[in-house]
Order: sequence, then structure tokens, then C-alpha cells
Amino acid sequence: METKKLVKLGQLEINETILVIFVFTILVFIGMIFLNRYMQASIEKEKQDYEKGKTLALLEAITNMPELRCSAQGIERECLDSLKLLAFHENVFGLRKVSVVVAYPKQLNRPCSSTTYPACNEFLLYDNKPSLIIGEERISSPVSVYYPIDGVYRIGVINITRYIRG
Amino acid sequence: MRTLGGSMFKQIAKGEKRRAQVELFGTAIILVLLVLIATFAVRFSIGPKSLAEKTELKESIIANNAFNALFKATLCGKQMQELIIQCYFEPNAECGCEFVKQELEKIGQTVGYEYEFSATANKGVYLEQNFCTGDSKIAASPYKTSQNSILFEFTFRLCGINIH
Repeated sequence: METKKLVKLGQLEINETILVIFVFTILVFIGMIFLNRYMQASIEKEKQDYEKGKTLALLEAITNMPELRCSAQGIERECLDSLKLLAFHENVFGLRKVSVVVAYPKQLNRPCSSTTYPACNEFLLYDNKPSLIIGEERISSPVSVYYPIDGVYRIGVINITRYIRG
Repeated sequence: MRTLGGSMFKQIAKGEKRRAQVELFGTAIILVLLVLIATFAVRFSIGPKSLAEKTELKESIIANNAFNALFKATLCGKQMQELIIQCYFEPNAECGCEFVKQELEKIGQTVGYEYEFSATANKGVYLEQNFCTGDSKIAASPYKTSQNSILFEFTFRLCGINIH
């Protein structure tokens, strides 16, 4: 009688343990689902932050590229050469658009090409737009643009637009 | 009697062991919770700061670029920097102080940024323009030069960007 009671008590305890383990497993499972979602969102945010940082780094890099920077007799200056802007054809900036718009003094509002230069205001350096985009992010900064033929400096705005692919 | 006492002792010892196990488990859970809380606290205290640092870096780059572009702009056949220095020596020249002030205002409006600019000669302010409507200001690195034994210092603070 005593043994039977002890066995029943033991079974009850095993059932209780199984139930606790079952509930604990469900809780861990739910926790993992939430953690996974949080991690995914966090990784996506990290990616966006990284891309933002990359665009910011490009702002520094583009204005310092020897292919664009103006120089006279081997001495580099803090400006972009308009003739170099016209001839620039690189394909290295990913899903972005890079353009320089001359804002001051006011120029004719039209894209620059070998036929319109220097009576134009927009130099399109690069544009790689994917077919499907869900948004755009833009960083702009004033830059000095040098016109070597006239020997004058104008104020431009460099725009770096990042396309967010859908 | 002896057998009953031994059995009771065994049961008490078993109960103590179980209680100790439960307490150990409780301590482990508390430790895990503390580690989780600490991890989240660190995560959230570091996050916004690095974002603020990035924004500050971006604004600092833009402020320095804006100052550089402003200073190099060619007007009346001279660069703005030369015109600002000329404003000290010949304030009433054709492209003197009034012209410089007008152009400084026009540049901010055309390019799309608000800024504060000041020029000093031997530490005395002789040209000061403030087009800021807000408070937040990001300073560009000041620029110093000397001419005719006079030390010129130019400061530029960017306070609003509205580039179209």
C-alpha cells in the first residue's frame, strides 16, 4: 500500500516536471522567435546605418578624388574642377546618384555636357538607379567648383542620393 | 525507534537537498535576468550616442565645405577671402564692405544654408554677419592669415541646412 502510494507520488512529480519542462520550452521558443525578430530588425538597422555611413564617407572621398579635385602646377586645392566633372565616368558608387549643381552665381538651369558647358548648372557624375526602389536618402554639401577656362570659382552643391532597393 | 529516527533524518536531508537545488536554480535565473538587463542597458545607452556623433561629423564636414566654398567664390574678379580682407583696408571701394555683406547674404539664400560669419583684424571684429534663425551651431575650423602685419581671423558657424 505504502509502495503504491510512493509510486503514484513519483508519477505525479514526473508529470509535474514534464509540464514544467513543456511550459519552459514553449517560453524559450516564444523568446527565440521574438529575439530572432529583434535581431533581424537590428541587423537591418545596422545595414541602413552602415549604408548611411558609407554615403557620408563618399561625401569626403568624392571631394578629395584626384579625378575631380582641382590642382595647379601639381598643388592640389580644396575645390572640384568643372572640366574634370564633365569628363568623369567611373562606376564605383553602388546604388547611388552623384551630382554637382552650381548654385552661386546663378547659371542656366540645364544639365552640363560638352555642348552646353559652361552655360549649364548640373554635372551628373554617376547614376545607378535600380528598377524597383522603396525610398531615397540624400546627403548634400556645398563645394567649391573651379572653372579653369575662366579661372573663377563658383559655389556648387554636391548631392549624393542613395537608392533603397525594394 | 532507531529505524524511524533514521528514516526521518533521511527525509529531512532529502528535503534540504531539494531546497538547496531550488535556491541554486533561483540564483541562476536572477543572474541570467541581470545579464540580460545589463546587455539591454548597454545596447540602448550606446546606440543614440553613436548616431549623434555621426550627425555631428556630417554637419562638421558640411560646415567646413560651406566655409571653403564661400571663401573661394569669385566676385569682382577676386576671391571672397580677398574681398573680405580688402573690406578692412578699403571699406568704401567698389566691391567694398557693403557689397561683401550683400553677397554673403545672397550666398546663404541661394545655396540654402543659414550661417554666422565674423572677420577679425588683430582680434578686433570688423565684419560680422548673422543669418541664423535657430540656435544650434556647428563651427568650421577657423582660418587665419596675415597681410601687412595684420593678423586676420575668420570664423564660420553653420546653423541650418536647407539645400534644395
